[in-house]
Order: sequence, then structure tokens, then C-alpha cells
Amino acid sequence: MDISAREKSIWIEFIITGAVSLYYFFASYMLSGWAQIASYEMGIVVRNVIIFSMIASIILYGLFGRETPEDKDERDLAIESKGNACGYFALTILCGLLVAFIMLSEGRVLLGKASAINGPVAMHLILIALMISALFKQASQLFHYRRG
Amino acid sequence: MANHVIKNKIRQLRFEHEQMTQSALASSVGVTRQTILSLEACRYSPSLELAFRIAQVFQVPLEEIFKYSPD
Repeated sequence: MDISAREKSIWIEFIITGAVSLYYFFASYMLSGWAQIASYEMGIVVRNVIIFSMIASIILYGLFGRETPEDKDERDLAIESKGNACGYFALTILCGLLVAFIMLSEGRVLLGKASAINGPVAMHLILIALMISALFKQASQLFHYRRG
Repeated sequence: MANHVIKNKIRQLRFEHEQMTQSALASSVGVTRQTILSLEACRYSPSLELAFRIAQVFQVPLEEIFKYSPD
């Protein structure tokens, strides 16, 4: 499989983003359903995310990303542009859904049927939206690199 | 980005020009080798500027290299 240094770099970013996202959201959700933001356990999760990202980057770039990517040519710029468009589209949709979700939750609160979304939950939902949009961007770039 | 509408003879012209390598052609026109690979496989359509640069390298008219054939 003929892969350029730039494409390898995107693969590495994609893998690290995906793995770190999965760990962060699984680990933080296990802490009493995301309510414990300012807690010792949350600090441990954040510390582990940072350490894991650094180690994964060192290992993956050391093994597969030693070449310096060439300057971007027109195809690289076109693929990057498509990736950005895909990422922004995903972010827009997810933020729209988040706004709708918060509005519906507020409506349910007024009806006395549920408690309002608190700050930590909203923060995590925004982080999810950002992580997913980053993954969409990278996945789109990889798809177009493979497709030609 | 896959595009079967524009065909080209870049590979054939490379062989006719002293077996020019993809890397050599890529360096001459200012793109990466993977872009030349995608061009030859007709999976990528070049910009007008890149098409002209390729034609200049091979010293042939644009129409001799690229053919537009809508499905």
C-alpha cells in the first residue's frame, strides 16, 4: 500500500484521537455519570489522557512517522478542504442536536418531569461533539487519500 | 474525488520520455509522487495549472495528454 508521509501522519492522529476519546468518555462517565468534574478521580483521568496521548504519539510517530511530510500540493489541499468541510458539517449537526437536547430538557424541567442539564454534562456533550467532528474530518481525509 | 471523466496518457508519455519515473515527473511539476499515481489511475483530475505544467514537461499539447469523455 503506497502511503505518503502526510497520510501516515493523519492515520496516526486518527488512531490517537479515537483511542483517547474512547478512554476519556468511558472513564469520565464511570465517575458517577459525569457529575464529578472537580474531583480527584477526574484529575486522574485527565492525567492518564495526557500521558497516554504523549506515549502513543511517541511510539506511533517513532515507528511509522519518521519521514518528514512533503509540502502540501494541490491534491493535499483539496483533500484537507474536504476533510474540514466534513468536520464542520458534523460539528454543526452535533451542536444543533445539543441545543435541541438542552431546550427539550429545559421544557421537561418546566413540566416538572426532569432535572436540568448541569454544567459538567453540557461540557462533556460539547467535548463529544468536538471529538466526533475531529474524527469525521480525519476519516474523510483518509477516505479521499485511499480513493485517490 | 474519483473521476473517470478525464482520461490521460501520462504513464505512456513517461515511458516515451526516457522512462521518466513518477518521482521525477512529480518534482518537475511540483506535486507529490502519490498525486502522479492518482493522476495515472484517473482517480484524480488535475487543476488547469497542473495540466499545463505536465504538458510543458512532455512538450506536447494539452489535448494530447488529457481527454474528456463524459459517461
